[in-house]
Amino acid sequence: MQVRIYSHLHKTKKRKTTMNIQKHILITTLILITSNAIAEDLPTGEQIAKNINARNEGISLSRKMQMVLTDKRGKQRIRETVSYRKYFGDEKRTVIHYLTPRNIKKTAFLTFDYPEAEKDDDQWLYLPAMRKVRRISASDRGDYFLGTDFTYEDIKKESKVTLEDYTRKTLREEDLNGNTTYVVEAIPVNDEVAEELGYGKVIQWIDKNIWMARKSEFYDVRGKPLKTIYTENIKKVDGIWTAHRLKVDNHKTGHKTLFIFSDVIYDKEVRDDFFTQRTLRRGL
Amino acid sequence: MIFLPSARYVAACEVLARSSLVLASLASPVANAETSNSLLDDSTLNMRIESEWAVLTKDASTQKLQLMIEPELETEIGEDASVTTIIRLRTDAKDNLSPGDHSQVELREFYLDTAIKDSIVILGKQQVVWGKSDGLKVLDIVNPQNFREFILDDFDQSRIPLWTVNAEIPINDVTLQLLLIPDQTYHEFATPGSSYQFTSPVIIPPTPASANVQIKPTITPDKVLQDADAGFRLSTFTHGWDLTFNYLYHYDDTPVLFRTINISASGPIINITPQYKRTHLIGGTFSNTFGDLTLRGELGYLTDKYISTINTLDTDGVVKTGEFKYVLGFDWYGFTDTLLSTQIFQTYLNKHETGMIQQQLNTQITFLIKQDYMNETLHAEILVLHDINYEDGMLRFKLTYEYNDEINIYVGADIFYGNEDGLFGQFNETDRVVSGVVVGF
Repeated sequence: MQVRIYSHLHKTKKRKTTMNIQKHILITTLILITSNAIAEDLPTGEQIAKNINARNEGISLSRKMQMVLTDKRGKQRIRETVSYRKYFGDEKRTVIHYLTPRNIKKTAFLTFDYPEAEKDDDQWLYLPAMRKVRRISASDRGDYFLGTDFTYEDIKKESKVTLEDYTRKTLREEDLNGNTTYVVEAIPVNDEVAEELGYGKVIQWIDKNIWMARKSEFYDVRGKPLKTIYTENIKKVDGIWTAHRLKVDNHKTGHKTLFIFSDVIYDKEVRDDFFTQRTLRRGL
Repeated sequence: MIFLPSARYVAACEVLARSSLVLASLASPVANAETSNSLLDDSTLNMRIESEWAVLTKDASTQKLQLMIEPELETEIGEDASVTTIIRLRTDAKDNLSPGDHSQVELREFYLDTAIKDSIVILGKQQVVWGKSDGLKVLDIVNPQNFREFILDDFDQSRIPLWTVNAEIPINDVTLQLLLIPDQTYHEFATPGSSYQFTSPVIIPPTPASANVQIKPTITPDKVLQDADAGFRLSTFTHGWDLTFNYLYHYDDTPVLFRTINISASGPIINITPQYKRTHLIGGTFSNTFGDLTLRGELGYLTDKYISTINTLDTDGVVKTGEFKYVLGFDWYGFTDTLLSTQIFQTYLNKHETGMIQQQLNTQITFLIKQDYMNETLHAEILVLHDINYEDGMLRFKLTYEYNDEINIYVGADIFYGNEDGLFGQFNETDRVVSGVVVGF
């Protein structure tokens, strides 16, 4: 009897186990189907990057910028600049002139950003104390730009991205302060590029409606948190979505950088000779 | 110690500022009282105040205790013109660099910068800087130099501004710079008895101790236009290369020491007559980047260079030759926030005779390491200049801290070493430690 009972129990248990397995398979299958469906709905990292780069930023731009650099003890340094950017075909030229403070006034930086990935950019720096325009290497893209927490590469790309430097993966869709964003993970294509950029990983929250990163977390080549860039006060100027505040928190040094943009004007006539060494020396 | 301007000094600056407004008004097509007021609104007055203390390492004595105040007034005139006025007031509590001349007030620069169509014209007292090298000069000879502190002063401070007509005219992808310099001002050398008086036989031809040496008055060009320097520079950027071609017809800023020897009953009398002589400078510069490396260089040829000789049979004591100079520099940006730079500098005389005080081929090399820390608030710099021929050189350290936007503090050392007959070794006794504060607002 005990054997029969046991046998019945065993059969019942076996039936239940079989049912559980079937249930698990069903749930797993449903999850997979659902997640595949979600994944299919999400654009790929590559598509998002292309959308970011396709965003209109006008043929030319002029703007003023205030840089507020704050060290970990709260001491601030403030710089005022005026900058111009213009497309010459696919080639982007940018010039930044420092207006204040006195010790760096008239310092100016000019860059030619070529569309060909294999071609290094050309960069010049005018140092008023030397009264010379100095040609500088553009390959050390990971160097920090004149005491800020932005690298030369960050400054050059502004809110755009380099397609060939990273492989991108869309992680999820997420609400960020009321804005729907795609969370994209970008990993440098190899160690050499990672060393060059100074980043081992970047996670960006890309606003799906305006294709602009609202937040970007940067990790160093060892995978430790490096800095976070917040893009704020985004509003349309001349029909073009424009960030008016860029804030960087450097998690390693405790240093902070804030860029505040004003007098932003798109597609106003910007003279070609603004992007020459002659104007770099002379100032604006 | 931070030096702040007194009320009297500020008042003096205001007078200077208003004086330059007068120039600005004259430059403006509509000069009237209303314009003057608007010019005042369009003026920016900046100030640079630097105090530096240098202590000689040999006896811990103060070599220099200097205060320099440099107001700069820039007045905008209309949309594309401005007048810049820079005054320099310098006073040194010690008397080692310019004995008998404790304090100087100098109009450093005073020029009108205006655009005429696409061209730029800069008229007035100014500095014109040519060349790509650091610390050594091949083409950067448009303006003469003050050697009161040898080459330790920043070139921006030691270059002597000249009254110049300077025009930059774009022609397609080339910019043509034209220069006319009707200003007969030449190098200023450290005065006898000062810390950096030249004694090296490479510069001052040696004379027998028993000889009666008589220095005649210097023959200096004095015709404003006939003796003016003139030149041009063509510059372009093509296929990744920055290129210039430079030409300058000018007086060499170092006088030629013509010598005659007369035999008298009391012994030989050596007459030295310094005279400035003209030469043509033809040269060019180039620079490009290759990955982390920046290559830059400049070369120049002086057609008429006069080198002193100790050969007593030579009739005038100098040998005329051509001089070829070049500098090749490599800047490497491979490490974060670091610049490693090296240069080789060579001078070759295409005519050489026994007795000439300068060797036919002279070679100098430089090494520079610059590093930035703490978001570029702390800068460290080490510079070495080494002369291969004379096995002497100079070593400079400098550490600068940007306390805030207005105040920089620095400490450093200038060390000379090697053969005392060499350009650097002659100052072996002037090794020093320096510290200073720069206030800018």
